[in-house]
Amino acid sequence: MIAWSIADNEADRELGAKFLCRHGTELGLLYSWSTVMSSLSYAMEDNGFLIGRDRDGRVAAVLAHTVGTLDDGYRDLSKVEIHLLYLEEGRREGATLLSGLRAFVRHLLESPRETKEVVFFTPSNEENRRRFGKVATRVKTTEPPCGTLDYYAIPMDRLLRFDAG
Amino acid sequence: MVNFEICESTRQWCRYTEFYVEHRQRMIEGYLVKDALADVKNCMRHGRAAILTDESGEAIGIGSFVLGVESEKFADKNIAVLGNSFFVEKYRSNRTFVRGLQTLAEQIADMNGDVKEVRIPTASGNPYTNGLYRKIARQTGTMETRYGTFQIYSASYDEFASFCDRFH
Repeated sequence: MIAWSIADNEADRELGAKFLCRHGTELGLLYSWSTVMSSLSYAMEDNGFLIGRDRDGRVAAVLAHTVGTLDDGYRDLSKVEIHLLYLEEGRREGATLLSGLRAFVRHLLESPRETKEVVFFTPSNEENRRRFGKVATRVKTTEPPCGTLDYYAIPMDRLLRFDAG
Repeated sequence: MVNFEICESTRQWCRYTEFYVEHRQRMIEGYLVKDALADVKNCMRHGRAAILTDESGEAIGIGSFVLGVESEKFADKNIAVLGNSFFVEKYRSNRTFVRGLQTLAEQIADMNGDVKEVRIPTASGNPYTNGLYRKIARQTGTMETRYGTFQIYSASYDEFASFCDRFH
C-alpha cells in the first residue's frame, strides 16, 4: 500500500529527490540526468512533485509534473505535463499506479487553475504503446537527440474516471 | 586518503546530487532543493563537478564550476565560476580543500585553456568559506540573492592556479 502526497515542504522534497538519486540509473528515460534535474526543479516550482510512501514511511514512488508543456513553450496553461513517474521495483502493480493517478487527479482538481489535458512523453516502443495506448491518445512521435519519443495526451474528463474509485 | 572522481556517468551525477541535496543547507542557510537541482543541471551543461570519497568509498565532499555567469546565460566561457563546495567536518582542517581546488583548476584548464578569470561567490554569513577564499582571491563585489548577500571573490586564472600549485 502506497500513500501519495504532494511534496510541498523541503523535508519531503529532499526525501523524494534523494530517492530518485538512488534510482537514477533505473528510470528508463532516454534523456540525461541534467534534464531530470531541470524537470524536477520546475515541478517543485509548480508544486507538482508527488511522493508515495510505503507503510514504513519510506519513499517508494514519485511523480513530477508542471503546469504548461515544453511543446508550446509553456503558453497554454490548461495543459499539464507529466515529466516523470517512477515506482520502486516490486511496487509496479496496477494498484500503486492507480493510487498515484488518483492522487495526481485530485491534486489537479484542487488546483485553482483549470486543467483540460494532461500530456507526457515516453520512449517509443511496443511495450509502452500497449501500456499507454489504453489510457491516452498517441499524438505524435518525435526524434530529439536523445532518441525516439512518443507524445501522448489525455483529456481531463477521461482522467477523471480514475478518480471514480 | 581522499579520492577525487570527476562526474561523468549518470551514477556519479546521482551520487553528487544526493550529497549536494543532503548538505545544501550547511552550505547556504535555507537553500531550497529546487535550487540545488537547478545548480546540478547548470553544472552538467556548462561545467564539471567532482565528488570526493574516503578509503571506504563514502562520499565526503563535492566541488564544481561552470564556465560563464548564469545571469548572462553562461555566454562568456573565459570566466569560470566555482559552485557550492562542501566537505564533511573531519576533512576540513587537512589538505583536502587545496587538493580540491587543484583538481578544479586542472579541470577548468582542460575544459577551456583560455579561461582568464575565476570567480568564487559565497554567502556573506559563512565565515569558513569567506576565510578560505580571502586567501585565494580578492573580494570584488557583492550580490543580493533570495538567500541574502553573497560576497564575490575574483582571481585571474593564473593567480588561482599558482595558489593551488604552491601546495603540490
